[in-house]
Amino acid sequence: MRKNADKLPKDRAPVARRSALFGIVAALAAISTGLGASVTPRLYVFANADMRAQAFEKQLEAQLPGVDVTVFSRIHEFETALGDHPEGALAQRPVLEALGLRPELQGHAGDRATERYVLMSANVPVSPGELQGKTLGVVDILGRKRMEGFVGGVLGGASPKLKYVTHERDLLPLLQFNAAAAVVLSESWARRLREKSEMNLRTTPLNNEVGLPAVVFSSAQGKSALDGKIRSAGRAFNDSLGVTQWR
Amino acid sequence: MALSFRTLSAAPILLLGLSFGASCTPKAEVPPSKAELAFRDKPAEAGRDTVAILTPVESETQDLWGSLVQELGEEFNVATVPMGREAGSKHLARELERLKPSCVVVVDNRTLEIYRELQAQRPTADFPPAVVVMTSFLERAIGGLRHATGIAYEVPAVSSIVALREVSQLDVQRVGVVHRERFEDVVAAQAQLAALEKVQLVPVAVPNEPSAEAVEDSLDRLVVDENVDALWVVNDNRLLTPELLINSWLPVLRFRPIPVIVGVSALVHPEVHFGTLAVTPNHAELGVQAANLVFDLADNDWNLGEERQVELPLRVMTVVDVKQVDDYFGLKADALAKIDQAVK
Repeated sequence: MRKNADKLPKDRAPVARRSALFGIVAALAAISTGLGASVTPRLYVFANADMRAQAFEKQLEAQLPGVDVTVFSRIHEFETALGDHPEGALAQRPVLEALGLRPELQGHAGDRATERYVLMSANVPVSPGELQGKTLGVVDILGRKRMEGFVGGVLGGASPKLKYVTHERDLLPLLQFNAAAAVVLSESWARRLREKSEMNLRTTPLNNEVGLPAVVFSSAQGKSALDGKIRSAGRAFNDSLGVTQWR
Repeated sequence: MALSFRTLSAAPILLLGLSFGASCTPKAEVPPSKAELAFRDKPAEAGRDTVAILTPVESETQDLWGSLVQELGEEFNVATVPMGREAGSKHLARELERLKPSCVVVVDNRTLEIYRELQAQRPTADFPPAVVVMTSFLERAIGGLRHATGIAYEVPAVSSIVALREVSQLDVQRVGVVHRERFEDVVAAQAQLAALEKVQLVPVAVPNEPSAEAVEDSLDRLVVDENVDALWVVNDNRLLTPELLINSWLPVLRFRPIPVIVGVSALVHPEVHFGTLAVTPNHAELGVQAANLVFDLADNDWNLGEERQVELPLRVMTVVDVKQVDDYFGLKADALAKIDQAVK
């Protein structure tokens, strides 16, 4: 979608090229409108749920009739797949922004567009200041190069050694195996891990919140095909993504 | 309650599956033409470090290899060194000399043995750091190896028990395990991990050359006397021979509805009351975990820290006999969405 981002409606084309581009854009628009009438719009989703990715995909698709949903669990796969130019892409806002995309539809939980993150540890609560020189488990949502800055922002400056996993479920074994001093995750995922485990899991709320899922569209046609469906998808769809409404 | 529909007459089905699937070492080699396509490397780029993947070209290693390439390919030249059945230490030495890798990923038991042989042949040579995966009991096997870390292939009991809790309504607090004496330290380590999840592992040791009677008596002790909530089966081929399955395991389990957690999916079969749930490593995620170890090494200028530690596999696959769970232990409402393969 990095390439697609350039196709999003932005005033980036130099003025001198605009007239030359106009004809091409008009022709492409005509073609895509023609195709759009018969092609099922695709929504690529980079998110984790407490179930298999295939089951998650089916669940989302059931709530979005007429949309071809594909779920990705690894950022590299998602980033590569965006080269297919799907009509829409859904991921946590920081993910989309890190990929150079500008979200057009934002998920909200109540009136908030962000969610609280916590540090979770075994037996004793851990504060960000205590993590220096220790290992912190984290889901790799941005790719390793971008993650240090992201985690530093969430922790408010501390920079522990990061241990990456691809799913929130994998954070629990890190604590079980004593492979990390703590893990960082959303408050909602912390609740789910508590339900799975009999360990004495302690949490420390963090001050800096993280953006909830948002959506980018590859074109006006993509937006017209998906925007209304996502807004009206219903509670099961929203629950699985941790939001209550889209706007 | 008798498991009357599950009879010993179906045992050969299980044994057939076991003969193909019980080993920790992958076996099904990808045909050459397909292998060439599936394991093809991208051209090397100048100025990049090389990571060599020493792997058998087999269907079982394909997911792991794919993840490694995907994760590492953006930063490193990834070179695959196929370790066919004829490959030996000379072949490996030639390839390492040619590639001069900054790091190697050693995949499977046989490759590890060849790598170990090469190190023994060259006791003063410098070897790049190695990340070892898909090998049996790595904590033990890695002992004599220089500059090596890795990920154990055996799924810890605690992960398996948490997986059982996720699908069944049983309150699992005490889990029995029969093991050979030589695995006492392995089981003791597992018991420590399980205790964190408030599960007591109840071990019963049998001799290193166990008789059918010894195994049957041990199982009886766990299931009848100790009344454990579940059994956890160690991936030890010597305890899972056809003779012991037919004469020890199946007779004890035949009339006793107790969940049995195994580490091989072939041991879960709807016609035989043996494996209720198989919990195995997820090979694709194992590749991601191994890639993260490689990145950690790169961040440390390709030096292993002084504290060499074998990691445990983080992500597992679950194969569940859902009928057995539903009939006897209660299937949780959302279980089907969470398990990787339902056997019915």
